[in-house]
Amino acid sequence: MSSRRIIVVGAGHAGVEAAAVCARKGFETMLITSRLDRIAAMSCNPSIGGLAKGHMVREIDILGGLMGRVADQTCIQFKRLNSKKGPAVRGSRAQCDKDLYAATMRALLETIPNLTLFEGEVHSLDVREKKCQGVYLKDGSHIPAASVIITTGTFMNGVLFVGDQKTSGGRIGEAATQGISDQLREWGFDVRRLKTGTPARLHRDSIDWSVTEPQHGDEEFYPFSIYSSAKPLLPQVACYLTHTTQKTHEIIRENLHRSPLYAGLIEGVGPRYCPSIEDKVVRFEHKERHQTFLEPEGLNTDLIYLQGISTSLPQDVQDQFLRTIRGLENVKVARYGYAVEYDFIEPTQINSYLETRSIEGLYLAGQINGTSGYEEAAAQGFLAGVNASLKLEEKEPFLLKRHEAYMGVLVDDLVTKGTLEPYRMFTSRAEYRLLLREDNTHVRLLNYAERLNLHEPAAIDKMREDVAKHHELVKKLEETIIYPNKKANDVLIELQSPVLQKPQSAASIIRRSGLDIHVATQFGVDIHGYPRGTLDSAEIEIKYSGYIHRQNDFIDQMSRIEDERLPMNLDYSSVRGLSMEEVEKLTSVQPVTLGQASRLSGVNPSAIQAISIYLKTRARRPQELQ
Amino acid sequence: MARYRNDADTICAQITPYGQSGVGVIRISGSAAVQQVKKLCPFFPDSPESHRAYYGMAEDPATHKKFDEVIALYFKKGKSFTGEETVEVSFHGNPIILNRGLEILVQSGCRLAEPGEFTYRAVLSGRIDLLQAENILSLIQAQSPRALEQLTHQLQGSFSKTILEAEHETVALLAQIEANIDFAVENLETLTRKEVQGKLTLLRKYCEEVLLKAEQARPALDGLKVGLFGLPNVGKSSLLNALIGQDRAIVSSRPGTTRDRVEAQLLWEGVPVILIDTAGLRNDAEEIEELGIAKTWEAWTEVDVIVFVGDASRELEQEEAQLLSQIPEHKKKIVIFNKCDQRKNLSSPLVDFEADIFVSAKTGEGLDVLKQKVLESWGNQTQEDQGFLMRPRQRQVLSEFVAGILRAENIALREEGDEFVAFEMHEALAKLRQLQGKDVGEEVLDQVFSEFCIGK
Repeated sequence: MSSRRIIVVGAGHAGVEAAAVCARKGFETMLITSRLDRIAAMSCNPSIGGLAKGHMVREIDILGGLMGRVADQTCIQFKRLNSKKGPAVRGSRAQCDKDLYAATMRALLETIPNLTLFEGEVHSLDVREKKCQGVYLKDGSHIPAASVIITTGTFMNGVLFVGDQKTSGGRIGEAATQGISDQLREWGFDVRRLKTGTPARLHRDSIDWSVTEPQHGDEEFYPFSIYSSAKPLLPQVACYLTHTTQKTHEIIRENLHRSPLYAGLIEGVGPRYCPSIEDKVVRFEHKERHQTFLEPEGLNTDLIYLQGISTSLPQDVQDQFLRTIRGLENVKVARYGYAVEYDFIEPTQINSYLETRSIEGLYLAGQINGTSGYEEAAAQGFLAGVNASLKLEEKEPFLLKRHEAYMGVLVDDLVTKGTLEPYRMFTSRAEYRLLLREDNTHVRLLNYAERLNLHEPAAIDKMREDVAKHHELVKKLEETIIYPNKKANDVLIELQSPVLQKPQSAASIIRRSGLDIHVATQFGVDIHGYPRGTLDSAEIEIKYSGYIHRQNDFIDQMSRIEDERLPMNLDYSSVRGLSMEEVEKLTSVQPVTLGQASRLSGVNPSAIQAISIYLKTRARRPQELQ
Repeated sequence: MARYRNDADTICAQITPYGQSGVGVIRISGSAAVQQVKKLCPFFPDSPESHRAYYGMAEDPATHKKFDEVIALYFKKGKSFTGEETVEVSFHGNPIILNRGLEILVQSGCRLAEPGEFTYRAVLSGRIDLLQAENILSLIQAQSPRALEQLTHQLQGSFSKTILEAEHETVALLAQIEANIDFAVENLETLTRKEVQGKLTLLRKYCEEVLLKAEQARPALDGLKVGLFGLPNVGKSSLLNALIGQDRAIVSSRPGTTRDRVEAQLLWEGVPVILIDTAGLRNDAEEIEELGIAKTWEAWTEVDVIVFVGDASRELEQEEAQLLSQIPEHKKKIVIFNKCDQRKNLSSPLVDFEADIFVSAKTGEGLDVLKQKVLESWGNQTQEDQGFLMRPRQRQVLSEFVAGILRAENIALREEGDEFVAFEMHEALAKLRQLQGKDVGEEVLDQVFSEFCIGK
């Protein structure tokens, strides 16, 4: 029985995705968490998505994950960020009702057969013969399993800091877990510390809303999930903008010595893109004020999240400086901000399938790999679940390439570059950014969705239909020729666009600046009946075809090395022309493809050539002997 | 070096040492070798025999001007040094001719081989093993003169610094654009579109300046090309002969292989000078009529200095006046009047008695002044002020960078999305990295974090 069992340790955003995949793949899945009531908790900000993150939520959804549909169902404000910028860098963000999010996710998990939600604390891993064969619980009991996926977030040796108060914990009010990371360290894993922080939560009634500026969501809703309805289910709310003042900064500066970070109590590295207010005040001394958004944590709670003001200053200092922020003069704090420091495993120790290189059947996903963010965690959890399942099914592992998905960029970055700070996804991390858009997620990933087979048949059919429609519409517009007759040119004059001199495709007219896909109808091309999503994706593909071609050309050029798979356990010391450092790096990371090897820091282009030569000559030798 | 070589390209390079020699050889290797060579050597058969030499004239496919007699040796796939289909074309060993041959090949679609690439391909194809390849490489390296290596080092140092500066500037600007994309909700004080465009323009001009200076410095490597232009009877040939005969430091002198030009390579005060006696311009009268005078001048882009030769024994002819007045402004020009021993009073307003030089090929009068003027026209550049000696590959890559930045500028001007400006800049940045043999890292993000106050 245990040969069909997969254990997932931790039920955060990574854990729930991992467990859901394994169970739906037919494995007897145990999702172990120390607090069943905290499944899929949004520990920090109340939003899912954002730039590059929204892209990943859509990718997870198309492949069959859960995050998107739960975010849609519990959305209380929707925004498409960068809506004025080009399509590749627009990102959807849903602010969610936190409690409902967690409850909805749990309810969804409970509908999945083969999945057991289990409250308990894993104390250690059962590893024998370099293979993970189960876990031991705190009470000493042993649960055998074929694979174990660890998604413990900030809980491994977690320490919470508020001023000089230092307590053990993974999240406020919840105990840390000990044991696993110590065990990993003992086995020779490179275990390091990271730090992150969260702002105070405020009582709604104690805020003077009249001096803040309301920020409403978008009218248009673009759900993440193919399963979601076209309109949000819940009432939509506003957030409120306000700012810190000089006085705020003064108080913070005066009390810096009481910050655990500045007092040297915290050794972990914090995220540069999410600095505490202490950091902001110190590093950007000249800035007169910093913006902050007051974000409701839900419809039925009076908690307000103070975005952008994460802090680990002592409570009395927090009380003082918060009251200098406009609108917060009489604020009552429900929960103080704090920093959390936790163990993570330097991620170059896992392979592209999220499995540790040194222990078979042991998978890591989420913050334990040095990432931050719900979406980054969910993406890894999903992929770890997929690969743990595929391995037990003795099937080819699942790997997304950098030009196919942000999820591919994420994993590739982690396993080749590692990370020194909490890793967050940005659009600028994707060299094929113009291809990795939200609008074409289904076009990019349909093949993989079919292969993974996690969707209901009707959903896959719908996806196929959408992809077919997309291609059909693009083809139609590329192939329809508009002739330079009076009728066509009158339309163009009306549109203040140059008249036609010679026949042109409808697509080339759409490509003109200032025109969009809807002009096609004026030239007699029927585009009625295509849904909004198809019109969007077709228009974008047509308008940016020049750039898309250039990126595709580049991918073709690269495919030669990108697709060249490296044999497992290749003996790099026998490859001539590699430096000692390169041999060491390549041996420890064991890249899957030559392309991946080329992205390892410290591995030079010449080394890639040397490996390529080595492989080619090695492959030929047996033939020569014949 | 490029991050990855594309092994599918057909590549070419000179495989004999640089400088003058009896014979200079260009090797073309790759699946399109025969096709590419045919553009340069039209006499080359479609299906040549391996290890057979073909004799004929090399010509410029654009103008059909023949410029050297050559022997092209064909090696079929599997029977060549690289293992690929290969042609080796032997030219006369003049760097000008060989560079011209390479330029034509590159224009026809060949890529210049990276250092060691032929050997690399030989290894790839299994012709030799890595050990042999290493032996070949060390052999080649051991032969290179130490002094030259030293000079190369020095040049690389200062050149790298210049390119590094452009790279820093590109990264800094990209950081601004990326911050604007990835942290749109942060309300950052990033550059406006106009500022971005302005900075791009500065960056482009900076590199254009480098290219321009390199172009000016090029004669130190290839020789300063001085063209003698004028109607047939003004005495260009005797002038050329006088200049050659007077000079003791002749490096070589031989008739051009094309029907209408004669070249001589001289060394004037340490500066290599290539004197080109162009055909009498009137011989091309039909061509002039067809193309217009401006085009006629453009056909001589290779010439660094135009020496326009008039005849002091007669008034300017109308045709001469036309040619003279239409010399492109960006060209360096020197106007001389030959036969000053038979000088008449010239009345044309186009004659500048102050600036123009009166010479006599017969008596040798004024030739020193002419030489001085030619050298001055190149500029009395001090060592520091001199542009970089760039290899054609470097010039090509840097030009591609400039072109990419120009595209980015235009996108910024048209107010299209930041991500497209970034796209062009990333591509351009990769060119700079290619120039330096570096990889693209995470610098852009690092810069974003160091410059902006960001907090989700």
